[in-house]
Amino acid sequence: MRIKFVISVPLMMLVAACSHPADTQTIINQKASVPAAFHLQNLRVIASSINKKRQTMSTLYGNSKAINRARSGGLVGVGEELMLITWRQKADENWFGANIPANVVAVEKIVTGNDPLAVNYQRYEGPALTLATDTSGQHRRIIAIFGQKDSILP
Amino acid sequence: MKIRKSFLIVITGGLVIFIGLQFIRPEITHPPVTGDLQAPPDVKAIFERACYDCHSNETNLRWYDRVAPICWRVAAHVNSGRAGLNFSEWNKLAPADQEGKLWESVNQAIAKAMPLKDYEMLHTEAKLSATDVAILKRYLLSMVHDRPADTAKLNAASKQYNYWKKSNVALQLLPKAANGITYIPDYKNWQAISTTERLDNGTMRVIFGNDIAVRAAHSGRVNPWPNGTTFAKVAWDQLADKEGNVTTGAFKQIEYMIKDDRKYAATHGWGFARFKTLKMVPYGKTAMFATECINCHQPVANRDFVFTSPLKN
Repeated sequence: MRIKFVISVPLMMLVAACSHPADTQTIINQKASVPAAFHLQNLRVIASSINKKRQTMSTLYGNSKAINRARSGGLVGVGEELMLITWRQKADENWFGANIPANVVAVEKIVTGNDPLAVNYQRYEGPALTLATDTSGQHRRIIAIFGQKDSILP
Repeated sequence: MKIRKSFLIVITGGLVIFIGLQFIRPEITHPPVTGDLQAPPDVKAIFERACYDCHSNETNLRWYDRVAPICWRVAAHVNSGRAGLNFSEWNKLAPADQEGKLWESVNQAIAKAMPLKDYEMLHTEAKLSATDVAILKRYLLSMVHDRPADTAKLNAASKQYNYWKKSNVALQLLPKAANGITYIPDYKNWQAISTTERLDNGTMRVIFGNDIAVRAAHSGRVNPWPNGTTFAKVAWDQLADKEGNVTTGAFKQIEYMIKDDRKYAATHGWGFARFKTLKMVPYGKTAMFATECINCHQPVANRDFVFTSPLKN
């Protein structure tokens, strides 16, 4: 047993020594990271979705008021904040058969004020995630975002 | 004269030891094939050539495989290989598990984690060429079908959703895996560090990271990840409509990875746990299940055994 160990351990170490640690910068998904200006860290996940045709994936985030409303299925209330982040997908280099987020395509932000009917919608898009000035289709987007069913998070 | 004599003593001594070693032989058995892998001939031929020596009961031992000390290593490879995946007992796996094993095998091959390097050194015919890998990839992709969710899937999702809504109370006793890791309900208050769409098993995932993980991603200290790092990966069925819009369906499982380089030294510093279905049934009957986890994570050994590329939001 001991002889086997003496021989096999250096062999295994030799094999292990052949792999160099990957560079941190290549491990972190920089392109898919949402700029700090959006303060995503204040929000929590509500739902996740994919659009196979467009090859995008999205995550819906919300503050506690938005999460509670989504989970209880109630009406839109005051002080809700929602953010829908949409990424272009790319093949995962580490797992053949998986797709992961590439660059951020759009950030859509919804805030309800004291009057829940007065909904503020903003869409940031493009490489620099600039505020979109075209306001057409906003109504449809607001309904779609509020209408997202929450993912089961037991 | 003196030098020649001592040289002779060394050579004779070496020979005696070498011959002596031949009497210490581990046994390599050849159990019957009970249900072989079914695949197109070109695909099957690749698996047979590159994998079957260790991952089937049809181990082909060459003369040099029978010489000690090589035979010790060969026996260890064959025994652990068959325990992890045995193509000769393929029919013992459920169809979904068979597919999972195939994707895992090909991913190990792509990452050059398999065939094992020391095996490949002596058995050069087992090496996989770029063409071999392309054939395997094409075969796997032929098994992927994008179709709208059927009634069964839709019903399972809505039944589970309603049950979850009604039973939204904290569990009194947290389910515990065989290695002592419990289900951590607080993961949903952590930040999402990535999402994954899996074509191989029709699921979609969100990966959450605790504060330590999120801070590590921000400061770039992710190789290795610091002690205390915890990931939670939630998997759901994909529910696709006719337009290709996919939402999350039934909850499949939650998996945790906890970094503690002392406590989990045997599995490269990571503690693993998986809880399946809303009942949170722990995966693995004994603590040995973690060997299966770390084996699958072997292709990403150079990134601290973590597949996920975290976002720093």
